[in-house]
Amino acid sequence: MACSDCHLFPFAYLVIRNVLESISPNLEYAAANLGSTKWQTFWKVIFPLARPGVAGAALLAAISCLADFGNPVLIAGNYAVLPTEAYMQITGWYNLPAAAVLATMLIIPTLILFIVQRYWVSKRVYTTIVGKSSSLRRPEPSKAERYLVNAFCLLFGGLILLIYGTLLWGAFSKVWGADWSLTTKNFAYAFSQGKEIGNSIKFSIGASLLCAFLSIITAYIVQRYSVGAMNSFLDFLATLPGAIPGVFLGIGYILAFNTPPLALTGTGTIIILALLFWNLPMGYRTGTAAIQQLDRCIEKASMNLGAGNFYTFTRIILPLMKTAFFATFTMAFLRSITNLSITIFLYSSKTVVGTISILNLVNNAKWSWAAAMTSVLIGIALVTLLISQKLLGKENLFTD
Amino acid sequence: MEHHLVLEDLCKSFGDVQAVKNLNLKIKKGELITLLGPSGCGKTTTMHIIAGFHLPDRGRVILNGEDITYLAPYKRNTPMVFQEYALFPHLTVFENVAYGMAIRKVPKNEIQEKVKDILEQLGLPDIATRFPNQLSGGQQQRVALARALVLDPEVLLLDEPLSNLDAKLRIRVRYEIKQLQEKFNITMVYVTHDQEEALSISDRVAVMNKGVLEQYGTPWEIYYKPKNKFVAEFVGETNFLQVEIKEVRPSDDGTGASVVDFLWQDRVFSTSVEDEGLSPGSTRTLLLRPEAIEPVGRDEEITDENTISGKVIDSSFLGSITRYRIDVGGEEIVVDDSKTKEHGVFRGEVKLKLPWNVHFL
Repeated sequence: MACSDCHLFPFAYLVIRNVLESISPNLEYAAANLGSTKWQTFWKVIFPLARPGVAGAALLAAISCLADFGNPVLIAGNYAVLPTEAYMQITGWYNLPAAAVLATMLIIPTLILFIVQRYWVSKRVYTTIVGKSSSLRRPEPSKAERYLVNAFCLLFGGLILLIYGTLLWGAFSKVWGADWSLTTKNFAYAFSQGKEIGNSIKFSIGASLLCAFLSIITAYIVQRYSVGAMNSFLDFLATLPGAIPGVFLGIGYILAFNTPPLALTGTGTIIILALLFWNLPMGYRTGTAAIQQLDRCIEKASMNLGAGNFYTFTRIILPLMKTAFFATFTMAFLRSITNLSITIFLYSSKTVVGTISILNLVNNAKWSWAAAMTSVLIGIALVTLLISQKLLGKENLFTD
Repeated sequence: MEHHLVLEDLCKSFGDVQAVKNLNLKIKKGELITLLGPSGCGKTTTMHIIAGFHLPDRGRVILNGEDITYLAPYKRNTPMVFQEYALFPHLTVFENVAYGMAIRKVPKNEIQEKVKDILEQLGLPDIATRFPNQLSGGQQQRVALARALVLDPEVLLLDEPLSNLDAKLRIRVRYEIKQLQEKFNITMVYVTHDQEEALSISDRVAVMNKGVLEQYGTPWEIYYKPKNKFVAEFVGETNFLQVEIKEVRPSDDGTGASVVDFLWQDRVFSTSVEDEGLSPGSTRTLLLRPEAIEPVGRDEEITDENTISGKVIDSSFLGSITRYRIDVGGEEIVVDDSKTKEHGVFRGEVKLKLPWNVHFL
């Protein structure tokens, strides 16, 4: 559970940070001006306003947690959860229908949480916080407050660093748990599995690139072209995978693409497709937010100056969506390269990816090798993140 | 004279809301006309119909004798200056201004020359390589203007182009726009909700309300001869007095005007009017602009019969004028005194002189 916490922390953090940032500093000053202490301001003003965001983050975490596969399969021991049970049904008993039933049962709670999150919480976030952004600085905390808050953050950050530290230590150790003397041999092993790492990168890049393109095009069509009921239907389709646990997607893809003419099982294409649609809702949200920021008069101006639809889209819209495109690409890449819940159902001997081989290493108690392999994947993810942050500058599009 | 732009019986609804109702407007070549009205009056919709962003439900748009009602926006030469400027943020000033010409496949060296030329004309010679977010509001506004002007527009559309500028700059730019319009002899359609702006730059003003054209005339006509209460109230401050017409007789000054005697506050006043269909015995609304009523200083001799006394309710000194609210026999009227230096500020009882020339609704 603690592990899931750390894993979900970034998502929750981003959601809540966005909500807090959108609360005007004016409100803090107003509360102070009316005589409330900082403590009262937090509980009476800030927290109630942030509540939808906090609830949203909690629900998001709950959905991810319900559908989580990697953590339970690796560390839960005898505790069976639905996703791992579904996996056992397939690998142990070749019982696809039973796995499908289990995955379907999983979709009920996630779908409910998803609907609550989408229609109740998300609406409230936008209606409670309106008005112009303020250029006012937030009230400065006092020294004592700063120390207190920093200490708390340090504790939490330390916990997260501990996980990475242990992992790295393990990756450089001879035998995890027995011989902690340092070695680089584990990495030699990791690099000898270059094909699996290569698969990871290949599939992730493929899925992320396609996802970024598809997200922006879908978002653009839904936002700008009114085709009646089609709009809400497209919107629904693009958002739906967000409610679907990876396990369900994985099993669904096996069932759907097992027979000709769509016999894709075992190919890289099926993994790319599954990862693509798994990431679509995130990209679609990013794209939608970016297009909503784009005033319609920009397109009108282009047309007014003589440009047709296509010219306007390629010369004006696409360049302006660059940030959203890279943000989607990066996020989708990070999610894809660390994904286990989908790939585990779809891989074949030719399409083993990094996360699968980590799982196999863990199952064979090759802890140090697994740690080295994980470190390599984390390294790739980190490098990607750094490059994209450099490219995107300060703009932050990694909303929820 | 052949009209350059004609709007013929335009109708446009959005759902249940009728944004424009049976609008007819004729605009001459080289004329600057303003669509003036409160928000939701249909002025922006009308402009968008001219630009081709909206198709009217009924009616026609005729430019240079050619029906362009259903022509795609990018096929008509009606560039627009947007309220938010709508500069393309990822393109430099040069690229923004050149955008329309690049689409029209104008040769590169010609584009270079024209962009340079127009930027110089607008007083922006050194910013061609900058991006919109590196410009001040006023500069962005000019770039938007340059981008439209460079296309030698048939009709230039301006959608509240000054509303994002500060008050001083707004006044300066509005004179510049007027100058450019006269210099290039461009037909301009200008949308605004600011009556002062409309009066100051327009050749003619079209006052709109709830989708209907209330009045179309010169700024002078709009101000002094409003056709109805809405126009009178929307453009400037006005007093409406309910009066009873006593007698109408031809004036002997040879102007063809009439002299009318009317009863107000149990007193008879005599004024001159142009023929406004007044009949003795009827009750009419007399329109008096605050500056047309003259407060009389204590030492000034009163020779005029058209005076009445009132009591000052309150006053606000605005520099060039002092604005009073004055109680005249229980009726509250607004009076602007332009002789602030001589008169100082009146308190208590004050004598008011009504103008000789008036307008009835």
